[in-house]
Amino acid sequence: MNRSFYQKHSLVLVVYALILVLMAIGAFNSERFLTIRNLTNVLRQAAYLGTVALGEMLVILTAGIDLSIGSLVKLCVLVSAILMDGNPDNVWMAVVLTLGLGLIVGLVHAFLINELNLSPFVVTFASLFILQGIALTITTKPIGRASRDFLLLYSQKLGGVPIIVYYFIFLILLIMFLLRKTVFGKHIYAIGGNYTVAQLSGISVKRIRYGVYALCSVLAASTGLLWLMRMGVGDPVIGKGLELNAIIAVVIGGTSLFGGRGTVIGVLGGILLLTFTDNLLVVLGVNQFISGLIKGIIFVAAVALYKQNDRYKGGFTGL
Amino acid sequence: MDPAALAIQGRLALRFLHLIGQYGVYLALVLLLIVGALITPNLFEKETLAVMFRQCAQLGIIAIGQTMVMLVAGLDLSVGGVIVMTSVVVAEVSNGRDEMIPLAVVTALILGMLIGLGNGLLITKRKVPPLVATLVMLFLVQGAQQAFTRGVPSGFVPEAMGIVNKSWGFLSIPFLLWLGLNGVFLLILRGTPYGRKVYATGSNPEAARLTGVPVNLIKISVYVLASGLAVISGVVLTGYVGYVDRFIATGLDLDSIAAAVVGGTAFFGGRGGLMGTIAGVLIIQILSTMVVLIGLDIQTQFIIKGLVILAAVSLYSLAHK
Amino acid sequence: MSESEPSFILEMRNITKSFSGVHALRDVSFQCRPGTVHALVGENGAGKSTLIKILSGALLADSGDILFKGEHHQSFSAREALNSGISVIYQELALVSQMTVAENIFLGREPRRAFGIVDTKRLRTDAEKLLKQLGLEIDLDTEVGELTVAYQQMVEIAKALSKNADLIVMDEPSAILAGHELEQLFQIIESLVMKGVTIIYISHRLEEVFRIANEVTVLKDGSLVETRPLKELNRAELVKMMVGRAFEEVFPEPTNQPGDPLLRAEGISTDTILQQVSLTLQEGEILGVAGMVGSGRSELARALFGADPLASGSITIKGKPVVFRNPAEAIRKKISLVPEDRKQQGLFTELPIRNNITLPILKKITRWGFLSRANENEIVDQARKQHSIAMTSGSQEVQYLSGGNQQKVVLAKWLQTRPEIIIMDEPTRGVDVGAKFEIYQLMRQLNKEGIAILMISSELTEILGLSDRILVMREGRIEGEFKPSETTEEQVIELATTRAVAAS
Repeated sequence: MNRSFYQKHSLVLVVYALILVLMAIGAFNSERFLTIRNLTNVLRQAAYLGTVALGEMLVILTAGIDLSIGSLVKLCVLVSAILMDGNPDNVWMAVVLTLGLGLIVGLVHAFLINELNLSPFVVTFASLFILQGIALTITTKPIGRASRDFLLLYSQKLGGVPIIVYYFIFLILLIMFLLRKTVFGKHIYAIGGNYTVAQLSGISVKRIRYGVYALCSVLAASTGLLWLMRMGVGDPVIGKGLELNAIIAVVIGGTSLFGGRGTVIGVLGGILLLTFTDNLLVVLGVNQFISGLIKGIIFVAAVALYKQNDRYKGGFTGL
Repeated sequence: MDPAALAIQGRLALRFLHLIGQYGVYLALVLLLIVGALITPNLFEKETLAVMFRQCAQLGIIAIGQTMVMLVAGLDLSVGGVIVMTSVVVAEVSNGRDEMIPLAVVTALILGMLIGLGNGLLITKRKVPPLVATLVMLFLVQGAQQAFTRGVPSGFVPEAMGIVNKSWGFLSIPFLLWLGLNGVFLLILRGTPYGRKVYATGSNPEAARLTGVPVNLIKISVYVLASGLAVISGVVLTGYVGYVDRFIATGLDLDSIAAAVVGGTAFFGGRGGLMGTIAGVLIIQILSTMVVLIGLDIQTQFIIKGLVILAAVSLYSLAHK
Repeated sequence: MSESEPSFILEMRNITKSFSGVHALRDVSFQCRPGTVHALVGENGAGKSTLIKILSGALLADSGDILFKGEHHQSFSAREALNSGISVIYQELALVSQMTVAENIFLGREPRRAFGIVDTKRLRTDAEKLLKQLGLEIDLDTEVGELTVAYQQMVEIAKALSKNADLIVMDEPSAILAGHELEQLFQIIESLVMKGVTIIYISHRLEEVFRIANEVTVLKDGSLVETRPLKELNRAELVKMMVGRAFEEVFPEPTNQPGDPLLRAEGISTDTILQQVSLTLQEGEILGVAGMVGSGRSELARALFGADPLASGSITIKGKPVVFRNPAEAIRKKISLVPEDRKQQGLFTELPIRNNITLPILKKITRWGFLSRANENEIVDQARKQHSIAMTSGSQEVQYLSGGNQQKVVLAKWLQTRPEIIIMDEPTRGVDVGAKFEIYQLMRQLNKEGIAILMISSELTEILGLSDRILVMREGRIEGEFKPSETTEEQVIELATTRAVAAS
């Protein structure tokens, strides 16, 4: 009983169809919408959610979850801003150390999950608090400064397309490559798809966990750098609820919270759908207060209508 | 040592660990109180206690609902939104007039329970994982609230709401309300058929179904109760603050989960209960208060909460091996 | 390799294994010749799976040793087993359903290029080669979850081959195959054997055993009966080896003559394998349901209890038609189900005994909306005395009780609802001998009170010794109905393992 291509990927196809619909609405209502300028801006916007979502996807594919990335982004914005301190000589150091911070956090997560046998939910839940606490202890008001040339990266374009978009595309291709073509990627799917079989096949679950949680956190750290590019300072307001948005993008994109199923194209669809919705609401001049309601209705509808083929038997998810 | 003695030692160790699993949190609470008394004796001053108990109540009332939701292997992230909604509704409906308070509160309760119903239906009928379901409901509620108030909350909170905060010494209405609600729900969970069915549903949904428990109904009811309790907490908060504040409930949702977890309620359901959550709430609040008293940056409370969660969960994990 | 090839590729010697004091295997020795198909046969519970688990390293034997390819192993770990060339294909297929055929075959051992990149080309060519060796045509890129079970199994065989297995164990491989799929399987087995692979074939489908195997080893009650070449045997003899035993156990006398029909099922079919099942259950009787694993017995229990919906057919109780949309409705009509897997479906292991026992009758212990501890304790105490449950107190968590006592808790729970019909699925599985007899006595006691019992069991002695009537199921249908006096263990096994009553 072979399901057709359409049946298997129904959700993703619907998501992309919706994106096209949104774009059509946008084009009809505003001549500014389909301009390169606007579209590339949207893509740049998408990168901010997208980098985090891609990392979250990796973790969710292994039937895990990371609730701490919002707090991590927050912390990284602060750390990078402080380290850079407006000095162009510090840029590389700030970048490297920030990414390093992400790496360490991710490794610690995996360590706790592997060695203490705790659920990813609980570990990253605790981490959410801890990282937030560290960030807010450092400061509750904007602090530090990006150097001028770093700031410029935000608006810098290559061939009309912002550099950040290239970064995003690069990440998409990288993760796609990782998941489809490497042994690491195949093992990620195996662990999420059937943990016992994966173990019995000699796959080192522990090692894969270190890999995905580290990647997830490093991607989050890089998002912090992106925010610094945009804000120019380390603002501790950044990052609130980011992980939840990322999870929604991932889920709408067809990735199962139980692991083992999901594609980058799908998650990209989720990211774009969310971003385009936001953009469209602004372009249409929709009252910013109504837009939240509209988004909420869309989310509820999306989630209610998408009948999960997963075997959610009523036990706890987000193991 | 001969194997028999080793076996006995092993069994004793297991029993000990098991006891820690059951009562450890109370022990921790007592130890914390002792440490608190030594390091920050002004912890027990009337004013400090008053503030702390009120905060316990705010958090604790929501934590009751959250505990129940977690007992059926669920999660409720929408409680923050429900609290803000309550604030808005109370202000709108009563518009400053004391005599409209009851109507306002009832309206908020009905709306809150509808939200809980929504959660429950998404989770049981559409099989949406609780994390996602309550999250999208939160977005919906927040969106609705934004649309309704257009960013500027209208209406006024009536003066009389302030009675919610009447206090005598370190006791206050919120605190007593918290204790009372705890008592009621403890009674329900431990001493009524409904409570038994809740535990059964969380412990083993399949076996519960095969024993005739209406699993879906129980789950939906729990979410409705959790939202209802969030409304009550919202009423208390609104009365205290005196105006509508969008950020009034910040952090309470996560804190309620933390309190339940520290108190021994497990994410996978069937294990834990309100007694533990009470201790969890107290521990969290005492630590937060001590942080201020010691003179640490108030933000370190987050770090401490996170560490406490980790410590608690690790111990429980060991205890139940 | 040594100069003189050992005449046996595998020798398991004096293997003994017990679980919590119950012997699963007692001093079992068996040998396999290389390049043959060796059948392993026996009733449910005879010890076959335990033996295989020991062979594959999933379990450690209490005593005995293993000789494989001339190498001696005292204990065998899963890794050692794999590395030596032993591969087991279990009934629950070890595949990741979301991954493709090629990916599954080489899971964990993917051919690599630099930087951890999968050598997709080699993966595919190697997979293709393997499938060709087996004479199979499966699209390498199909998700394994989309394949029929038959093809999934073949992927597993390909997987085993890819590990260069010298010995492949197949546990009930044909249980879900039909017609030409079976033929395909046999062709594959024959081609494997020609390449020198040894196959251990576990099955209860005796006609297949005769078709494909060279030798057969029969286990019974954890002990070895005999190992014989199949050409020396006929079916009747084989069956006799499987079941012939002295009737040691004593069962309580049947009580009264069974009374009026209490429950009637007509033409029940479900999505879960049942096909046109009809039966009658009379007051005060024990209706035994026999059959092999997968024959639909538990599905029948669930269908009668409202746990699974009926696709067609009807059920009447005391003449009135009933439709159960869920178990709660069945319970209201005084039916109880003691499930097969008590830990997963019958008990709340982290909850206290009293919670478990009183869950279905909470109304009875409620006064003014609250549970009456006194009433509850009384009920628990009564249950303890009535069933001789060994427990420390009503607040003890059920997970700390022994298997027999856990089963008693389940029974006690259901008896609280004063059922008129009790369906018991493997009532004495994992229960020690003493408790078993207590349960038998309880069952007859219940009969005296007019209660009808439908008993599903894999233990033939139980079926024959305790039932007033016996139904034999196979592949979702009822193959036969008898009184115990009219039949023998052999006949029951015959029906349970064959497509038609064979005049052997």
